[in-house]
Formats: sequence, C-alpha cells, structure tokens
Amino acid sequence: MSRRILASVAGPVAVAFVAALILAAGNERDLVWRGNGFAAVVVPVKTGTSACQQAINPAESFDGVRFGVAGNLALPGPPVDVTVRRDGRTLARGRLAPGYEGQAKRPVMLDRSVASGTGLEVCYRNRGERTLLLYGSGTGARKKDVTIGGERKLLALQMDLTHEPRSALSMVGTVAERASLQRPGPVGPWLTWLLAAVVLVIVPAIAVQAVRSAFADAPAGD
Amino acid sequence: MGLDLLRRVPRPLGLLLVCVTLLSVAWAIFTPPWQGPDETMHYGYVESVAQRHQRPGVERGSLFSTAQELSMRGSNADKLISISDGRPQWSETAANWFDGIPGTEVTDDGGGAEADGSVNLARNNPPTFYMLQVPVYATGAVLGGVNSRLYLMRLATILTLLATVACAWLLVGELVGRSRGIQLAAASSVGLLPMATHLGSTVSPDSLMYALWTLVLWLAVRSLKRGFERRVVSALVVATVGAVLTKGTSVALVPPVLGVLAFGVWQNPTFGERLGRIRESRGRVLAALFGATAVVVLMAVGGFARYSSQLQAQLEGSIVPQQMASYLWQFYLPRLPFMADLPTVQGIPVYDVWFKGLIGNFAWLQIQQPNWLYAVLGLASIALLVIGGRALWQEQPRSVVIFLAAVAAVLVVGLHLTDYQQGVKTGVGFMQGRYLLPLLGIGAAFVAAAWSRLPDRWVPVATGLLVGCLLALQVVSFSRAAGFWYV
Repeated sequence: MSRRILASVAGPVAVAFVAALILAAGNERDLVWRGNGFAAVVVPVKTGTSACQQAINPAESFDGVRFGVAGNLALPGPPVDVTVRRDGRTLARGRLAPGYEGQAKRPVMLDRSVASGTGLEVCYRNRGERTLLLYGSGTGARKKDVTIGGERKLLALQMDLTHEPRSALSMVGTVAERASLQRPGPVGPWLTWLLAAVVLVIVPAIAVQAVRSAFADAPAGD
Repeated sequence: MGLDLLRRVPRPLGLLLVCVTLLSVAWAIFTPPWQGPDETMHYGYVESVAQRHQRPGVERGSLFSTAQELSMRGSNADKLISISDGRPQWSETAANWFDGIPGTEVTDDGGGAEADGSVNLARNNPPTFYMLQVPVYATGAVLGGVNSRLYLMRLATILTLLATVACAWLLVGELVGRSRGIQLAAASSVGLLPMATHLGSTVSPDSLMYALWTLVLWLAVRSLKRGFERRVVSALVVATVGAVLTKGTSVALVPPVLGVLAFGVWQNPTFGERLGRIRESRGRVLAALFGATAVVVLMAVGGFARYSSQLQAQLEGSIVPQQMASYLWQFYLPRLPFMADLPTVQGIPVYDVWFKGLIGNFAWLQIQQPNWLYAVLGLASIALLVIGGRALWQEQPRSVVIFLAAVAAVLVVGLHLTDYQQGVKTGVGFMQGRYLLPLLGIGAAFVAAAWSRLPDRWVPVATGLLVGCLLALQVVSFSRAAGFWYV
C-alpha cells in the first residue's frame, strides 16, 4: 500500500517535471528586452524623420531589433534605418529593406552586438518616399519616452531587443535571477532554486506522508 | 490553548496545510510585483486606508501613491496588465532605479480620483479585507519600502487560503463522516488547485471571501444535518455578514442562508405552537413584521449596492428577454445561425471562460495552460460532476442538496445578470473563471461524494493520484508562469 501511494503521488509529478523539461529544451527564445507587446495605435513617421524609443535598459547584450511595422495601406513599406544610441553616440546600426507588406513585427539584425546597460535609445528613420507606419500603444506608457520627429509623445513602441535564440532550458539560471528582481531584501536567485526544490521534492514528499497518514490512522467512523 | 488546538488538527490535514503553505509562499514570491489580478487596485486601497484613513476615489488626486507608481514603472507593470505579449522588467538596474532617490517613498499622495476619470476600481468593495491588511502594511513599512509591503501582504493573505482548506475539510466531514482519506482528497482539490494557491497568495479580498463562503457552507450543512445549535447558528450569521462585508458578491449567500434559518425555525417543534398562538392573537402584527422585514432587506440590498459594482450593475440595467435568452444559450452552447454574434461571448464561455479560468488563467489573464490539458481535465471534471452529483443527490438529505444548489444557483444567476448588463452597456464582457471560486467548498463536496462511491481498496491510490495530479498541475502552472514572466 505504502509504495502504491508513493507511486500514485510521485508518478504524476515526475511525469509533469520531465514533460516540462522536454518542452523547455525545445522552446527557443531570443528575447532580451520588450518595450511594449501591444499594437493598439499606428505611429506615422514622415519621410526623412525618425521615431525613437528611449529609456531602454536591457539586462543582457543584444544584436537584433524586432519592431511592429506595416506597409502603407496596399503599398509596400519604405526602407527603415535602425540605430541604437546612448548619450547621442551610435552603438549599432541595421536596416529594414523596403517592400514589406501587411502588419507584423519584423526583425532587423544589427551590425554589431550592444552590451547591456541603461539609458539606450533605438531610433527608426524613414528612408523612403512614403510614410512609415510603426505600431505602439499608450498602455503602459506613463512617461513620454517616445519622440516622433523630435516631439515627445506618451507612447510605447511595439518592439523587442533580441539575441541568438536559446532554449528555455538553458535559461533556468536566468529565470532564477529575473525572478528575484524587485523582491524584498534577502530574496535572491538562491531562493528561486530553493522554491523549485520545495515544489518538486519537498511538497510531494509531505503530500505522500499526508496520504499515508490518512489511511493509516483513520478508524472507521472516527 | 493554541497548542491544544494544533494538537487537535488531524495529521493528514496538518500535512496538507503545510503543503498548501509552501506552494502559496512559492507563488507569492515567484509572481512579479503587481501581477496578481487587480493587485494594483487592492494594494492602493489598503494604502489609502492606512495613509489617508478613507476609501480611495473620495477626493481628487493621483490614483496611486508616488511609491507605488514608481515601483509599477520599475517592474513594467503597466505594460503587462492583460497584455498577453508583455514582459516584466528584467534589468536589475532599471527595476531598482528609483531606490534611494529622495522623495520616491512618498506613500500618502495616492488614493485619489484623477482628472481624466481614472479611479481605483476596487473602491466599491467593502473595507473589511483592506482594514485587516493595514497592520501588515504598517509592519512592511518598518521592514522596507513598497515592495516589502506588497510581498508581506501577499504572505499574510495565505492565511485565508489555509482557512478555506480547513473549512472544506470540516464541510466534507459533515457530508461523508470523518473519513480521513475522503476528507484529504476533497480538501486537496481546494488547497492544491493552482488557481487557488495563486489567488490565495496575492493581495486580494477574494481569498478571504472564499474562506468565509466555505465556512458558511460548513456551518449551514452542519446545522441542516445535526440540528440547529444556537452557537453554530450565531457563527453562521456572523460568517455570512462577514462575507458580505468582504465583497459584494457575497450578497448571493444571503437568500440561501435565510432559507436555512427559516428551515431551522420551521423544524423547531415549539415553533408550530408559538406560530399558532401568534396567529390567534397577533396575526396582523406578524404580517406587518414580515412585510417590514422584506422592506428592510430590500433597502439593505439597495444601500449595500454602493459597495459592489457588480450589484449596482444588476440593479440598474434592464433586460431584453430575447437578448438574454440568446446570451444564455451562447454561454452554454454553440451559437445557432440565426442568433446575433454577441461581442462579449468568445468561444463557448462555460468552457472557454469558466472552466479554463478555474483550471488556470493566471495573473491578469495572460498565462494559460496548454489547450490539450484543458480538454483532458474537462472530461475528468464532467465525470466527477456526474458521479459526485448523483452521489450527493442519493446520499445527502434533500435540505442539504437544495442548500448547496441554491448557493451555486444564486451566484451563477448574479454573474450572468452582471455579465449581460455590462455587455449591453459597454460591449466588454465581465465574466472570468475565478468568479466561481467562492464555490470551492461545493467542488470539494462533489469530490467527496464521488470518492465515497469508490470501492474501499481503491480509495488510497485514487487519493494519491488526485493529490499527485494536482501537484503535477502545479508544476505545469509554474513552468507556464516562468515561460511568460522570465524567459
């Protein structure tokens, strides 16, 4: 009986854990920083002008930008120069070739990797003859961190900073670090590891004891 | 006395409570700041009570305090609320950029109504939960800043989930007798359910409401099965009032509990004699008394509506019968070709909103379980409802079955009225799966009834499997949350 109870509790937990590991191994992620995941408003950028997202603070280095953009109605979209800057100094460049159609988040590779840090700015300059249509949202924008043609707007552009895709499984250490941000004093990555052990080992072990004791000391009609 | 009480806790329940505590602490710490459903509003309410001694939204001013606003900005909270593609802040420097900046710990400048109409959406909730959290808020302020307060308040909320589990254990004990195995299975279905541990470890009055609802269910069933003792009936009334003063939704408990009390009076052997005497001598007085009571109840509900946006919506709007019928059909069944396409109805809400929301729709609805898992658990739940429902019907007194059904029915009818009215008024649906969680105790009753039908030799392994599957669901839920928040 005791072994069957152990197997009945631990079996599903082990299966779920192994399945989660397998899924994480096959799940590739490239995200370093996300400004706004939401495409609620169209942000028109006229020929020869730029839209810039400021106050970007990536925690890791990156070599790609992915941003929400659309072709102009039925017409293909104009070319876009993407520059990454800090304190007015250009750190990396990339270009989105013209001719894209429809609304999508489109990736641009930068000419060099940019180190982590704070206070970065990513600018999108319209190099074509038609208006460039970027996407963004006022949701989540409580500061005017976007400029369009030099004018400050209460917006957040739909954009990501990216690096080489990595499996989610290879990022468990990163998960532990990220899950300890903005927590009270003593909380650090070590606590995330401890909680993982609690959920995967300690709680199932106590649960086995609970089931065993329920059938060990429960006289009928007690 | 405390130690004596602890010694009286059955060992399986004690161990289950340890499991629930550990899982809830894990959820509380793993969840990024402000990612509990409506947590920004509930924290803001507590802060308004603690700092300004009033409900939020009474005076003009900022919606949130400077301290909360900066913490929310530092964690990317606004870019995550109900946005399925958002991510929290992953940069330590950015997340903590406001630490140490003079003036950023201002906590008494929130709780206002902003010029653009922004106001704390929780302001209509009764103040009970928020007042209970004030000492925790104050303790958190001693330990650190805004995030210390938030996380300490989350940890304090876990106590309400433990109370829910204990009450579910007692409820099942009344229904099927003191069978430790069945009680453990049923209480596990409450305490180890990922949505319960997630919501029970965020700052929200809902978890206290679940505890009080389950307490009411236990006390009412105990009275119906064992007879009406004065102290139990008093506790039942106090718990019901407490639930109503915690969240307006709990007004749904009032008619079934009044029914139980009326049943108790009717069952009392001396009542018939007394009623006869009163009829003879004071028939008109009695009629007037009943009439006055009805008026007072109606006035109380009307007056209380100011503490519940949901109740306000139910009382204010009108109903177009054909539209309501179409809405109800589409909620439970696929839309027929001649029916209007209602913007508030996505998929088949009884499954896509209610069931999925109960099995796992975390944070601000951005984190879901895999679709195949909902389907598998949906089939298992239907089997549980059929077997458990049949067993309850056959084995429990009619009064108990009617009471449990009435509690569920009044809540469901109220939710439909609100969803319908809000849909008509705003075009945006109101319904969420977690709104059914006050019925956790009734879910436990179904599990217990179904388990009571199992052959004795199967019960230990079935209980182990149920507990194991719930823990497996926890593992899946944590991995889904990690994938959304941190990868």
